[in-house]
Amino acid sequence: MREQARALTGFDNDWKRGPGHVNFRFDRKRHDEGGKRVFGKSGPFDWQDAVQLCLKHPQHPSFFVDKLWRYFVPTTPDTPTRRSLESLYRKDFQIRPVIEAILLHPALHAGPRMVKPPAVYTAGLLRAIGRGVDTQAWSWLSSMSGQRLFMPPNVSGWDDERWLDTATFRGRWEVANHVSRPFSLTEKQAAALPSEPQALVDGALTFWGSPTLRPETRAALVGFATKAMGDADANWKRRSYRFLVANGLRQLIAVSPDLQTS
Amino acid sequence: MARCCNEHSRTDLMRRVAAEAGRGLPAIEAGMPMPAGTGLDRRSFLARSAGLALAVYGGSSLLPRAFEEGIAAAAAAGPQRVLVSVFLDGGADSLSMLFPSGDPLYRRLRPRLSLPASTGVPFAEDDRLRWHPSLAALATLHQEGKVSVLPGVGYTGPDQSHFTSRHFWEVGATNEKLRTGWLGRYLDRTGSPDNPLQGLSLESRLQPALATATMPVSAIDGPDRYSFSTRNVWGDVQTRLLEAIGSLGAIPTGGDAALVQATSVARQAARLREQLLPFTPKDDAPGFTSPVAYPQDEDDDFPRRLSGLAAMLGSGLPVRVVALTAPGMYDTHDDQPQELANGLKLTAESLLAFQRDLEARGLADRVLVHVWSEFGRRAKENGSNGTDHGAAGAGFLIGSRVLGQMIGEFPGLAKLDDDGNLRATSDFRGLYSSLLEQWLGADAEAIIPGARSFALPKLLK
Repeated sequence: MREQARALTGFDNDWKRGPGHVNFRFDRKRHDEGGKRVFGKSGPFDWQDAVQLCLKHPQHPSFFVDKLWRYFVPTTPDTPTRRSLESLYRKDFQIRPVIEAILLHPALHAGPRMVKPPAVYTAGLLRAIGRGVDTQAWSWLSSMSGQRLFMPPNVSGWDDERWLDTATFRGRWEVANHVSRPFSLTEKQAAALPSEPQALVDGALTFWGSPTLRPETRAALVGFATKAMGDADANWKRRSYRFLVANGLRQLIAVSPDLQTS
Repeated sequence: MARCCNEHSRTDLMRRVAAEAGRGLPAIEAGMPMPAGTGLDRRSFLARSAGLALAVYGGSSLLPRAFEEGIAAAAAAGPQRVLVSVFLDGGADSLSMLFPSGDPLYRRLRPRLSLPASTGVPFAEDDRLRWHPSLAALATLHQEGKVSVLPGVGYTGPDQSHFTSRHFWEVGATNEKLRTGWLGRYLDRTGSPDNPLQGLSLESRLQPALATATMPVSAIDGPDRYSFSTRNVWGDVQTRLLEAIGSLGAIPTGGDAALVQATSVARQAARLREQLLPFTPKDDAPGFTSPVAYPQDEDDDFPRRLSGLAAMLGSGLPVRVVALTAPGMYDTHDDQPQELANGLKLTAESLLAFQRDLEARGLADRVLVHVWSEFGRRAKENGSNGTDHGAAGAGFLIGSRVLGQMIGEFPGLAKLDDDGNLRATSDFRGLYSSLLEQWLGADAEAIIPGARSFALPKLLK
């Protein structure tokens, strides 16, 4: 590891307020030209050699393919699958065909769920309502949810089995709130909304592109809408609670276990 | 600002690696351990799920109204002792915190960095040592008999990697494979399946020392900051919406591990929110007030977190073990003096205010603070006005009940180890075992591997 690190010496960059690190470059004067010994081979390796040494390591393809698989499927691939993915990758070290093969694999569509990483969760909600990346807020919101892109907690990256705790749940709540925020319903739209709990739930589901919910989750949503509408003890409340409840339902759907996982 | 070594900060690591590659990359060893609480294997993950599933189906206490029941249960159990773990991140320089002014080798090893004998207060228990001027607040508490100093705490076979050494301290063993924290294992044995506040990480991410296998724990920035708002939802409907988080947490999962996780967190969030409801600011009024003044700092929330903690304890919330990171950057490879002084000052003054706060609230007899760092620093200074990674370092126990006597002695500079580092005169695993047995009333053998093989220091008055 130390020898590889020496091979990677020589990079420099400037720091600019605002954009941060810029003008990333290799400066031979800062490179350690001496001999290194890596994986049993010796030479005056530089950064390109360092990459080649990793790629040519006999365990690289299986390690890489396995890691890629785990981003999509929570169970380990069976031996034939693992072998075919490896040989696909060995052919010319292209990543795309491997991802294609994983995305087409039945294990992706059946079997246990995975908790979505914050970036996937945020992107999924934005996509569901056809909204693009139009603000930088996603950076701090994802950070609140435990995943600031390009800043993993340590060199082994994020732990995909440990996304959710009480602090990151609050982060996801904020993500959901910010995604739907520009479209949140107001008093003006109340008259056009139904007052039936089931119909309110349907409307909120349509907002998110009609995701599939388990019947128990739907029942919890209907329960909320029924109780909240039941609190309306005056005519003006019966009208204005519709939009409040509709907004609340959108929020609840987005933070439900069904949408936190896939 | 001083630069810490690349390996040091977990959060900033990748960025620093990119930024400082020209200076040589950090040595990160093969088999570097994962922090506790990460990378749970399938089996332990399922075991954890099963524990949480019990909580889901355990009865009425799972629903949002559980707040009163939780308080009632905690009150019925009587006031509980609390342990607060404060981490000096980066390997704090013990030879500056308590500097060996009376050791003839001190000025020879530290020609630039040595502090003059005219500064700081003498350390009453060893006339070779003086308190760093920035630790005056700790010196005051020591004088009152409320600080026990560990002048050379560490372990045999010291590892000079931040990752590895910190991991050892977090899991309470020199075992790279352990995935639960030592405080987490304590909660797994003695905790409650429906009280996330029992293990409290007072920052936005879980402190690995609190990582449990089965019991819920929580992470919050402050007791007054755990609120859930939604655009254009207010009044009665908002109340119902917040209740509904608890309903999401009660939806059956069919045993799917990811759904169990997503459901459990909704339930824990609902419960935690209810527990912290009294601290929610109302109409711009703060969520809590402190009987004493804490240091003010624009950049660091540490004093605020401690004052929030004292308020939570004052209200009787069932908090048992707490972990948080101290202000400051202690990986002082260069430009050490200012960086170190700033961090130590804010840390010590905040801890003094916290102690005074607890005293004012009548809680001081049941709270103990443990201050630690993953290692000390090399006795000999380096060429960039700083110090490099060492072995044994200093630790402190603070509280009205602590014995107020040194645990292990200052090892001196004449007998350094082969790398030029201080030798340990006490072992952190022995300290943990004593904390578990004498303070928390738990069986140390069941929590710290090989607890009986270490000397267990007497900690309390």
